[in-house]
Formats: sequence, C-alpha cells, structure tokens
Amino acid sequence: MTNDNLSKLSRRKFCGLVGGALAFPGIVRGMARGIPKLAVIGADGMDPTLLHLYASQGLLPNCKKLIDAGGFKKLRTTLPPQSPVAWATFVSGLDPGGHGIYDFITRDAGTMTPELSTAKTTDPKHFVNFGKYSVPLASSKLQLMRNGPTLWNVLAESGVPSFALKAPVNYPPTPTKAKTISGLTTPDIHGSYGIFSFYSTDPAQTTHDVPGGQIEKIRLARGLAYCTLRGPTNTFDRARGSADISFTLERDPQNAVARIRIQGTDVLLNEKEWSDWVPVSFSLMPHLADVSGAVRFFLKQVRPQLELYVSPVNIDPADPAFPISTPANYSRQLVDEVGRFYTQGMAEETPALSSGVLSDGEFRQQALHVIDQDLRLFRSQLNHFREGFFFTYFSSLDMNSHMFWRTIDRQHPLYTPALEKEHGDHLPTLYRRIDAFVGDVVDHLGPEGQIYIVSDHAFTSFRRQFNLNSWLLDKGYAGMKNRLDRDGAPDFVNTDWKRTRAYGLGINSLYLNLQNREPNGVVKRGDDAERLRTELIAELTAIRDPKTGEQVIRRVVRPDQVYRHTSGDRVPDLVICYNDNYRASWDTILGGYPREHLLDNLDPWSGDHCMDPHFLSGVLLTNAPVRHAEPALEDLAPTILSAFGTRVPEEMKGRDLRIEPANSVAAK
Amino acid sequence: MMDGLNRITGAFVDGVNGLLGAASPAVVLLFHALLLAVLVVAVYALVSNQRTIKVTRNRMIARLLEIRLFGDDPISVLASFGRVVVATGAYLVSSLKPLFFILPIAVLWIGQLAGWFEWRPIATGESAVVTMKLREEISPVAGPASLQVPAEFVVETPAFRSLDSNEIAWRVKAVRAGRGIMKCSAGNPMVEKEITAGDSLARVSPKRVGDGFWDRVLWPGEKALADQSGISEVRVDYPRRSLRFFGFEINWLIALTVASILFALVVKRPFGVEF
Repeated sequence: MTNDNLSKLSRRKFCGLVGGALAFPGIVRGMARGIPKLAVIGADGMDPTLLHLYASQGLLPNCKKLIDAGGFKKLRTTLPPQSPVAWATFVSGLDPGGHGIYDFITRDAGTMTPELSTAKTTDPKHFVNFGKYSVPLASSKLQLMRNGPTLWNVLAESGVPSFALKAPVNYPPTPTKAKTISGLTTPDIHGSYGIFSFYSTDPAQTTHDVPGGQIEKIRLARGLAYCTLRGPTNTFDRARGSADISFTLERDPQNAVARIRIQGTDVLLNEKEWSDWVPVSFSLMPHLADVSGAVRFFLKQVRPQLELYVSPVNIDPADPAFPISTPANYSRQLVDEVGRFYTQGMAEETPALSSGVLSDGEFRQQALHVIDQDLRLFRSQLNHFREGFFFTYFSSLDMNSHMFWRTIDRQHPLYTPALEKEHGDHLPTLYRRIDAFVGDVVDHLGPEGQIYIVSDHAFTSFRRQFNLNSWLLDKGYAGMKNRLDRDGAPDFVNTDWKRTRAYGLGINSLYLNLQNREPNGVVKRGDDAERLRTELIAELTAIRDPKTGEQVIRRVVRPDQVYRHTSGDRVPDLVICYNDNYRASWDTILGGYPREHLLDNLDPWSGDHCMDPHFLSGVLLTNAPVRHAEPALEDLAPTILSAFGTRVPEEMKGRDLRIEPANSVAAK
Repeated sequence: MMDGLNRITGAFVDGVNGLLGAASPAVVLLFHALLLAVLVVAVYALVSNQRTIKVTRNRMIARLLEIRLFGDDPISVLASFGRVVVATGAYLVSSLKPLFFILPIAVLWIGQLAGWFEWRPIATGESAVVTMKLREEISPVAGPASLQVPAEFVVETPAFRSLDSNEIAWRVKAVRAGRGIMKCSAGNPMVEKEITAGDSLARVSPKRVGDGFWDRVLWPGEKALADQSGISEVRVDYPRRSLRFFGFEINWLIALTVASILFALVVKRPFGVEF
C-alpha cells in the first residue's frame, strides 16, 4: 500500500477492516491470499466437431470468442471413453486403474450378478422380526466405489471455497467442506439409473416391465382409474416386497384434462402437459420409517385412451432419503432458492423414448426441462460465487446426442429427412443453452477469472450393434445351459460357467472366467490366461461386418499395459475398443446371448462414444491458451490444483497444463 | 355469531401482523406466542384462585418429594403415587376456570394464525388447484362450470369435473402478487372465494365452507357459504409454509406452543401469578 493510499485510509475504514477481519476471518484470509476464480463447466459429450460447426454458424457466440482467441484444444479421453470412467478421472486425477471405475456395469465377483459400478449398498446383517416386519439393527451401508482423491475436497481442505454442482461420479458424496450436490450416477429411489412408470387404458397394452420402466394397464370406471406407483424394496418387510403408493387418475367427461390424486395432493394436467415436482412418501413401516421421493407426471393422452407417464422417483432434494449433498442440508437450501430439481444422475427419460412410451417431441420437451432446471440451479449458485472453484456438470449434450444423433447422421438406419427437418434443431438448441451459460460465467468471473469448458468425450454414430457374448458362445469361448433358449433372460442366468472361458459385461469390458476369482472359474491364471487373452485379441480384431465389410473392433487392450495400477477383481481382463459406428449391443451388456452377432441399431439411442478413444477426444475450451499440444482429462485435476497453489497429491500423475491466467484471452 | 367472532379475531391478528410489517414469519409467530402468554397469565391473574392453585401445586411437589424420600418403602411410594394423582386432579380442577376463558380465545386465535403460518400464498409463477365441491344433489356435469379469477391469476386448465367426488376443479397460476376475489359456478349462482398470491407473509383462506360450527372454527377466513348455493366448499390448495427456527424446520403450532409456555414462565412473575 502506498503512502498516498495509507493517507486515504480513514479511521472508520481501518476499524471496518479490523472488525471485518474479526467477524469474517475466512473472507479476509482469502482476500489477503488473493484466491483466484476458476470455473469449470463440465459439458458431458460436447463434441468438438459439432462445437466448431455450430460456432462457425454463429450459434455459439461465447464459445466462438474463446475458440477464435486460441483457447480450444482437443482433450484426450480415457480408456474406455465412458462418462463415469472419464469423469472419475477428471474428479480424481487418476486413470481407471487408480479410481477403480472401469465401466457402467461391473459384477459381484462372488455371485456373478451384474451391478452398477459406482456405488454399492451393503444391507445390514442382523434383524429383529415383528410379525410381517423385519427391523434392521443397523442402517444399510452406502459406499462410493470411486477411489482416490476428490478434486474439490483437496481444494476445500486447502481453504479454497469450492462448489461442485451436479458433481459426477460422486454419489454418495465424499465428505468435504465444499458445497456439492451429486450428479451423474446418482440413482433414483430404487437404486437404479431410473425406472419410469406408464399407465394406459389401451386394450392392446399389457402390464409388463420394459428396460428402464414398467407399463401398467389400467381400467376406468366412471372416468376414474386406480393406479400403483412402485416404490423401493421395503427393507422392513420380511418378504422384501416393494413399498408402493396407490393413487387415482381421473379424466373429465369431455375436456382434455385429468386429475391425479396422490397422498392428499391434487395435480391437474392438460393433455400433453408435464406437472411440476410432486413429493411422495413410501411407507416402510407405518409411522416409523418411510422413504421420500419426488416425481413428475406427464399426461400423454386423455382420449381415446387415458395414458399417464410418471418419471422415475427422484431422491427428493427437499427431504433426501439418501445423501446427495454436502453439507447435508445444502440440497434443501437449493430447493428454497430454486424449487425442486432433478437429482437423478441421468435425468433425461431415454428409456421411455427407446421403448416408445414417449415420442421424440415429448422427450424433447422433457429434455429441455432438465437443462433449464440445471441452468436455474447453476445460475442461482453462480450468484453466490465470489472466489475459488466453481464446477457445474451438464448431462444434456450427452443424453440428447445419444437419442438424436439419428437426426444428423444420414447413414444411420433410423435417419429420415423428415426426422431431420422436425428435430434437427434439437442439438443446436442445447448447445446454445450452454453457450449462453458460458457467457454468464465469463461475465461473472471478469477478466481475472479463468473458465474451462470440459467435455469428457466426443460423439459418433451407433449404427451397428455387436453381440459380444453371442460371438463368444458361437466361437466356443462360452457355454449355455440351454442353447435353445438364446432369447431368454439376461444376467448370465443361462450361462454354463463350467464351459465358459470368457464373458462380456458392460459396454467395453471382457472378463476371463478365472480360477480363484470367479466362483466357477475354469481358466488358470498365468500362461493359460495370457494365451487366451492373446487369442481373443487376434480373433476379435479380425471380425468384419458382412454388411459393410468394416472392421468391427478396432483394438482390444490389455488394461495392465495402459493403466498404472490394476488390482482388485473388478478390473476387466480386456477392454474392447469398437470401431466408428459400432458398439456393444444392449443385450450383450448384461449377459444375454441373442442369435445374431451383428445387426442394425434400430433404437433411438443412435449416437454413442463407447468406442475407441482415439477418435473420441473431448473438448477443452478456456479463456487462456493451452500450451500443451495434447492435453488429457487426467491433467485437469493437477492443473486446477496448481492454479490455486494447492499441493497436488502424489497419486495424481497428470501434468500441470499451466493454463496461465496472465495470458487470459478475455483480457486480450 | 361465529362469523362475527371470526371477524374480530381476524382483525386483531391482521392488525398485529400489519404492525410487524416486514418481520420474518418466525419473528411474527414468536410475537404472537408472547401475546398469547400475556393473555394466559393475565387471565390467570384475573379469574383464578391463586391460593388454591398454590396449595394444590405445593401438595403435588410434596407428594413427589415423598416418593423420593421414601423410595425404599414400596407401600409409601404407592400411597404417594395415589396422592400425586389426587393432587394433580385438584390442580387441574383449580385451573379449569381460567382455561374456560382462555381456550375459546386461543382456539379462535390459532384458527386465524393457521391462515398465516400453516399455508403460504401462491408464489408468482406458481400454480395451484381450485376445487369446488358440490352438494350431493347437484351433478358436476349438469350445468356449465365457470371460474373467473382476479387479475393476479390466470386459469390454466378447462374445468375438470369429477363424477366420483362430485367436484369441479381448475388449475390457476399466479402472475403477480395480490389478493382478489374469484367467482365460480357450476351453473348455479356464482360463489365468491378469496385467493392470494405473493412471496411475503400474508393471510390466506384455504377453504370457504358452509355454516357448520366446526367448519366455522376451523376455516374462519371467510364468510360461510349460503345453503342455496349448491356448493358445500370451495378450496384453494395453497402450498404449506415451512418455518425455520435456527435452521431447523419446526411445525408452527409446536413452535407457538413451546414459545408460549416459555414466555408465560417468564412473564408470570411480574404479574405475580402462579400456575
């Protein structure tokens, strides 16, 4: 401070500063240290090609400014380039071998049951039985399976104020002083990635389950139908039934309007209209234990058939039944500020579109609601952000690119010019929404702040699907108990483990049926396993698509040759890197054995990124030039920590990209 | 008569809340707890037999001490228990007279407070369902259903008519803050109902009901519906208000009760009152 400045420091100002220092030591400490401002916008699935295309068309003025100023680099993704794997690398600064997330799906090596890879619930062992109830003597243990440090925890521990909004692969949230709310991989109330419900009076409809949902046929009497909303498994019930809720659905005798009456709440909807969030409570034990959630209703049709769609039951942020935020009451504070919001990690209703329950237009409407809720949430917290680290995560580009890639890939089996005309503007609309937010963040940060827009992978078309397990079966690497029942249940129910040497699980993982690892392992560790891996690599990379003549699998990688650590029984023995336009089929992912090896992908899920990471690099867009030619996702955590002068944990092996604020593009 | 009493207590509560202006709902509620405590203590001072209360209360304490002193003598303890019950009964009887005056006032008062603290007005941009319940003899599809809302609201749905529950419902959305009168009809004469929008603390009337005694006690916000209207109630599904005290969400009635007791314990000394 110069003498001139000192002379201007009045007694009142001095007292104010001292008083402030005593009252708000944290703020003053921050001011003294000059904590930088760094915001990261995580845009899952932002594709570098589309980014440049839309920017060049003038649709993304804020991103274009950054690109033109040299702030763009392709960002090397992980192997495999799956979102949970890649974001776990971003969060921890570790490769998959370090953070332990290798695929969406893994299996319980004891029972061979497929399970989600990112979180695990362990039920209590001891119960006391009262009649039909079974009261656990301890609560269930919910565990995040991602290992290693957590970026915002390290920052917060160093005194850097941090926000992580919709933090990916962070459910349940790791304890931290940072303000966080879980994002990608946060389940619905059933512990799944989302189970919708659909009620219809259509006589052609039957009550049955579809992937990611359930369809219930209902009957009307005087315009009224009784429906059941399926709840979570009742852990207090000795029979382990589900804790359901009954509700009524009633339509007006003439008008296109219907009323849902659920737990004392009336919801009135016009046809084709979504409700706001409706809190619900599933009773596990009357007056003693319940689980709260929140749903949205969509009145699909009033006549001729009455049809109602109910979203997956989200964990209610106003009264979370499971931990979703730090501090624990942060989610409730957010509700006070912006109202209820989606807590389900993958909030877009993709299973409903895939199963034909929602149309393209209806899905779009819901998808726009998701991004608008995210934006409202993020903007509200941006207003509280003064210094430190601010992270937000958008799922929208990823989920919608999955569903609407068929509108931009003219070679896709589901592409039609009419489809392009009607829905070709959807992806640009979403990119524009995010671009507007980029502009808000840049303005909020000012010239001294840094912004990184990060995407974990690019996108490509998913035209043809490959049944890996069927191929393994027909090549003699796997055996079935009943070979005639190839269209039967998945989950390896029909697998003859004594005759199975290798099996595919998840989208990119292939496991050997190893002795002393799998319960019925047949392959000896060591030379036998190595020989089998070599043989499989050669055979798999030789597969050609009879329809196109193209190579189906570009590479098969031994994880131990690319990951720094490979310990534990969750590590796949091989990682399959599919070629452009090819991917594992939905049937093979959970252990099914359909008859065909290769077939057209006729699911609206038409875009994907679970292929060879070599052609799926993501995006790093900053307001300061990136000097390194080939930045990688695992470099970002060390780079961000270094930007705050925070010690980088030893296990993080990525490089500091030295994105210098002094070279700020915005300042130039 | 109930309408008159409700008007008086309503004016009192509105006046108090008006005086407190922009204070937070929690502060306003605590102020009512203080007033309620003063009322209780004042009534005790005016109408209770303080000597009897003092004697019976001392007797209760004495019996409790007996239990403690003669804890090793089961027969004495049992006898003391019996005497505690008798003393408690006597204490309650001595409190009946003040309670006779306090309870009706408190019930009317709390009935009015519910309109402020149990529910909140519909926030701008928020929607709510308005439901008109018809008397059994009138069918919801017999005549044209209509709803006219004040300028603060728009109607978002056509009339929904339920044959099952004999109701007609609409969804309305608040477009700006304010209080107004909506008019609804099922083909019969129009019925008016107050509706309130806004983000601040304000009184709401969730139901306009018929002339039954308990209906008037529980839903005192508006005049009773006329029998010939054919409508048994008109309700607005206002959102529940959540009240936070030191970061904890507490039901307003529990907060009012606990705070009133604490305030009463504090103010009884200046009044020279025992209870």
